[in-house]
Amino acid sequence: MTKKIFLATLGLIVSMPIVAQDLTLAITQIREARGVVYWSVYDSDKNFEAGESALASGGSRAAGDSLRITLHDLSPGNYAAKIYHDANENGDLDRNLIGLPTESYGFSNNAGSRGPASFEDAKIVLDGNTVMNIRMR
Amino acid sequence: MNRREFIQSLAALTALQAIPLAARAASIPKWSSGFEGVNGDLAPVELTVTGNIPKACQGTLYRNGPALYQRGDQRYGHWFDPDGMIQAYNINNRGVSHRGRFVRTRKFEQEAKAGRFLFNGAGTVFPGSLAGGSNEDNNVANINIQPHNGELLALWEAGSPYRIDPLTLETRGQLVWNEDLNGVPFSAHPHVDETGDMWNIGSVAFIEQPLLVLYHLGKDGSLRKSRAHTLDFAGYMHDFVLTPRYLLALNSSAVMCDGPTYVDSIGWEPDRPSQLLVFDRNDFSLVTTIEVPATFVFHFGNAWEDGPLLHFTAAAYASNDLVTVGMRELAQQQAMSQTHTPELVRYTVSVTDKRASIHRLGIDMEFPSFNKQTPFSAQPLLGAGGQRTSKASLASHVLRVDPRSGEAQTYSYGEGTIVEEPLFVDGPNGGYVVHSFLNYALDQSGIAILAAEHVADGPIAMAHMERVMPLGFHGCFLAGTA
Repeated sequence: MTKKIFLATLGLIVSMPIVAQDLTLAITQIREARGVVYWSVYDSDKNFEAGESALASGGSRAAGDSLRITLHDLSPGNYAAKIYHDANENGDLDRNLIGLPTESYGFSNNAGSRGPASFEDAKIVLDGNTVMNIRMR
Repeated sequence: MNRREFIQSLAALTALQAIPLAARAASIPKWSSGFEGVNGDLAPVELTVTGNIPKACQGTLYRNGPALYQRGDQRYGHWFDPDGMIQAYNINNRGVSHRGRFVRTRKFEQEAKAGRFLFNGAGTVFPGSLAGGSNEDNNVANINIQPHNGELLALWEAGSPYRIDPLTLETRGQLVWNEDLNGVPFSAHPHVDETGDMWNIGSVAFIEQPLLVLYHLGKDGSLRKSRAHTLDFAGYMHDFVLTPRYLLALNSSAVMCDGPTYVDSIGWEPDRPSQLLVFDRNDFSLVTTIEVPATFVFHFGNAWEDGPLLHFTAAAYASNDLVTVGMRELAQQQAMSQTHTPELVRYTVSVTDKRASIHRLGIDMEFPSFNKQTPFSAQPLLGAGGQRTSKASLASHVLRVDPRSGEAQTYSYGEGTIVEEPLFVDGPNGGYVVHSFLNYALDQSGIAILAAEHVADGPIAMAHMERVMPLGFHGCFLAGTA
């Protein structure tokens, strides 16, 4: 590629209008191929931390050890996702008597070391079609 | 270059390459082969037997311990870290064979697939490690292996046990009685009572409100009862004491604090008295709490009741240094910077008067064990000792101690051999003692059998193999299963 063509290509990108983008949740390490994997995507820290008013949410049957969910036509911005695997389909993320989850869960960016992740750590900047890698733990 | 020069240059090259290896060999003490680790399951090998193995000792000695020290260039730095391997020494009239199989924990399976350690160890931080979903992602099932309800339990202390097939050593998943107890700490030292029921504690020291969970399991595997008690402080608890009426836990002065790893979080508060928590076996109610001088204990020996008094033995330490410093140095194959000598002590407790006295027996001994068929008697204790005098600060003696008088019989293997947990085997003339060992001078591991009443005479039979096994923690002997 000559310098001239390269600059011309760059100009093309810069001059493109801002359009809606796709966000794909690539969920891996699903422990059991049973039950439902519930996911929620948030665009604000308040809603993410409260677990309310998700921008989009849904449930997908766990059929293997991974899952891909694509959301279309999102505006550029900050997004974060929370996932949990309701393996026994009781509608809840089960916990034991000391309050620790006994079913798996995950956050975008694989954020959080102990306990829930913050929006700040879990957020990704959507700028072009983007894949969020989420490892269930 | 002619052929001769070529060979000479090869020799020179070999010599150059040998320098770092030689330097490593010089810097790593010979005993540290017991902390090198193994990287895969071990196929059966036959051992060379010397002496005559008594018929009563035909059976299987199962052992558990940290074994996988390294994946790629990542190496664990604390003895608590490595993944547990179950070893079986099968002893029958044809001889002795040995094999080993890693416990397929959730952690082991994920990391085997990834080809690297994904999670931090109990005492080691790996850069870029993954956050676990719960304590179960750190469960390495590496402390003990004990029989329960027709199978074996591979035990850790901060999560649920793993079930092991006694014949194939295959992992059958985790033992979970109900969702409430799924992944809740279950100590590596359950005790079995006169009826065959199993009792245990689980120390939940890593949450804001520390708890002690008490377990009573039927010999049929059922959960008879469980109860969680809140604790005044999160003292490290590894084992407990079972008596005919009570369950006693020692909330030690090694109080959990904030640290980068579990091990680093085990603090030491010498000015804080330890607490003896006395629970009623019938309903797990707290009967009383008795303050005792600050102490650190991994293991308790036998316990017995004598009218209103209750007695038990323990291998006590003056501080938590063994776990925070010593076990790190051992796993890093370095000589210990200080000795951490356990001392056998006997507690006498009056539950009604809320008093406890401690009698120091002055005996350097760890891994106390006894005849589990008669759990609540002042019977002789077996143990491994000689830590104080050994270059590795690891046991080279087998002891048999009268817990009342402190009178002891000792057999020393001398430098070159490290003695692992001695276990009682029922049999004629007072029974036998069986233990595994590492002979680091000869690069051999194996087992030794002694007459229980004549420990000082040394082994009556030994079996060894040219296979260096990592030093482990605890196990059990099951007669007649080989």
